[in-house]
Amino acid sequence: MNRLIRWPGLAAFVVIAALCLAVWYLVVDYAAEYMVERTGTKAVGAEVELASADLTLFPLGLELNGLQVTNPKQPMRNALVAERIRMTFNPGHLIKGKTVVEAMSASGLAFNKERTTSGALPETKKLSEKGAEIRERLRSKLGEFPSLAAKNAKEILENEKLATIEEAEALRTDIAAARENFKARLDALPDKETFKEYKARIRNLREDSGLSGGVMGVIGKVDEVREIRKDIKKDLEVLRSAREDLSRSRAEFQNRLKDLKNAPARDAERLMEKYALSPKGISNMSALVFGPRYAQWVETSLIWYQRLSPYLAGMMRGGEKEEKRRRGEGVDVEFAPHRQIPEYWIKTADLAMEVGGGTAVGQFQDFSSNQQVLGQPLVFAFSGSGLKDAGTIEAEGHLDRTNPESPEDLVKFNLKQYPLSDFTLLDRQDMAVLLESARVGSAEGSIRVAGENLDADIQAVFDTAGFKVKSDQADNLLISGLTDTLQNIRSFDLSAELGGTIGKPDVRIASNIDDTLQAGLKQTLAKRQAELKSDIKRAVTRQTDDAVESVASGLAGLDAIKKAIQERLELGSSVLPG
Amino acid sequence: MITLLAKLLKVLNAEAAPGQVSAAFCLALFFAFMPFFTLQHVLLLFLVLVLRVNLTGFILGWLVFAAVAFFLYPLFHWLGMAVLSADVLEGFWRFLYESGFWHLTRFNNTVVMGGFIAALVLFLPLYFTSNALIRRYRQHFMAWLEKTRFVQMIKGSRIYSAYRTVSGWRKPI
Repeated sequence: MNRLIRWPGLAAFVVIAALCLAVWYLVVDYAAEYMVERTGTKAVGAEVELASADLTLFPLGLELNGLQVTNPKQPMRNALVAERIRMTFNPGHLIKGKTVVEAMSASGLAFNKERTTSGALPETKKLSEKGAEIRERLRSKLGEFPSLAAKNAKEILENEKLATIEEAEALRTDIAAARENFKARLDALPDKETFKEYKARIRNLREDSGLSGGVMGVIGKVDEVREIRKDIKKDLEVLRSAREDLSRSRAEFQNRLKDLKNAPARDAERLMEKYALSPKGISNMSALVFGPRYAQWVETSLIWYQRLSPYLAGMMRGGEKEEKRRRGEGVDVEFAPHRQIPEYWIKTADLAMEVGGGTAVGQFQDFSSNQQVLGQPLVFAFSGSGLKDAGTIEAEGHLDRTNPESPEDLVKFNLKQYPLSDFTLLDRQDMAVLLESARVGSAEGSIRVAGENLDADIQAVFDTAGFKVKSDQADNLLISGLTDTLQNIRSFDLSAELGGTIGKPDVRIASNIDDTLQAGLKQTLAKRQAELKSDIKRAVTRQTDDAVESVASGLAGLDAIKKAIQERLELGSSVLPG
Repeated sequence: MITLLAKLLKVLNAEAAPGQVSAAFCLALFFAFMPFFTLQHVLLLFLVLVLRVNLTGFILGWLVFAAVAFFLYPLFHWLGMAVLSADVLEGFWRFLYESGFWHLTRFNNTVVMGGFIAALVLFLPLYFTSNALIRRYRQHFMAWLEKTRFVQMIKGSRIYSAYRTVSGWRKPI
């Protein structure tokens, strides 16, 4: 036996194995922590931090403590916080390279919490670009809040370029060019001297009307008269053609001048649209008041959805992965087992989250890396009732990638008796609209994403509402109107729809608040609108009068040329022999 | 520290008979031909340390065969794929695949399987060939080699002196 066995070698093996285990034991928790932070940060695009990780062997599991996921759009806030996440793995599957979580539980989940330090990464350009694109789209769909900056016609005109002035300048230049053109043409046209020559030639023929030359001589003179007549007619034709061209151009300029005279009114109308709150502007006031906050949620949700899309797309990856192999890596041949298992699969996860002054519980099932292989979509359901600050909160839905041809994500929710306080609806430099207090009597809706298409419908009823409008310009018509109207509103409903695609969402917001606002603001607005309209019109006309006048005087120059042509025509006709 | 390391090396490297060196080469062949760290590697490491084989021979063999394996990986892949996709063996592979334990061996990897088969085939030929070559070397070339400048340089090193001190330098068999 001793000839074969080297006993010190056995001891060395035991020592090496023990050392490896010790290193693994000491390092594995930090390695797990590092992996979670690194993978999470890469996926989210902002810092993902973990207080500690603990990998246990019996039972085989992982515990994550103090998870903080930064909101990439607001690096001083955490999109998600979890006190403790515990999961147990199936060791049999883990050896086979499949991470199957038999059970998972997460407690102390909370959303949108403040951070002490910024969780921004140095490079977040792509995200902001995407966000800006969606934001721009949503803004255009919701409409622009009327400007509060300009208060009177004078201020408005100081900041605006008038189309009338530009049009008048263009017309004046065109008329001047035409005048120069016709002037040059007039110089080349037959004039008094030309017709005087014709007259002299005819007179000479008449004076020489004897019978000199006999019959042949008479015939020759007749031919000459015919020749003169032909020349005069030709010159008259040239003059007529010039007159017609001039008349045509003048008529065209006349039409443009007529149009120009209406341009100040158009300018005034445009400025009214922009600076005054027209009845059209307040017809969907709810979209302008509630829209920005709603658009912000939509934008944030869509950016997160797009960020997670590669992972969701991975859920429907089927078959063997076609990846570039490195030398010596080989291929792991799959022998289809009785039931195929995806690479990652969390069978069930129990979640407890802080909401409405209490804890709502939820569960999701079958979170897998490949739903096609598993044949099961991810389903989830959350509910909280008897919460301190809220009546009921319920949400359920699924992320279905079992059929790659028609992926569908759906969430349905129902909220009752949920209080809101100091909820900022509109936050602009010049004004802010707050919902100081309100209660969501009921809110229910569904959000569905089928492929790229969005379809969401949310209906909510609010009561015990208290609005507040904050602004330094309290005397501003719009602000005072809004303040007066909103402070009397105690209950209202709100309907928000979402359509289009993920990249190009369409939003529609409607509320019975529109009618109240319209009724409240209409009379005051109408009066102010009439005043402003008249002021703007007056100011525009004042500014554009000179320009229009100079155009009209330009036309007079053309008329003078036309008169000169007419005189030459008359002269030409008078010398034309009968 | 160097003395301690030399003592350990002396214990582990005392087996310098041609058969012990050849056995070390053969184990190194398996170790090098299968990429990744698998259950087989743990077992091989155990055998190398526990059986009376020459450790230096194992390390040297591992380095050489690892270099050779780098060029043979495409062949191993082809061989492994052929074996793993053979219809007659499918039931057997499936049986192993269903068990978690056999996954530790990564038997279903084409390069691991190809390398393992290649090492298995070459095991005995390598053993006998290297046995014969070692004997011939010791008979005809060793004395000449010891006189070369390179070997003299190694013999002049500190670690070699420590090794000699603890081993009481003896002539190989």
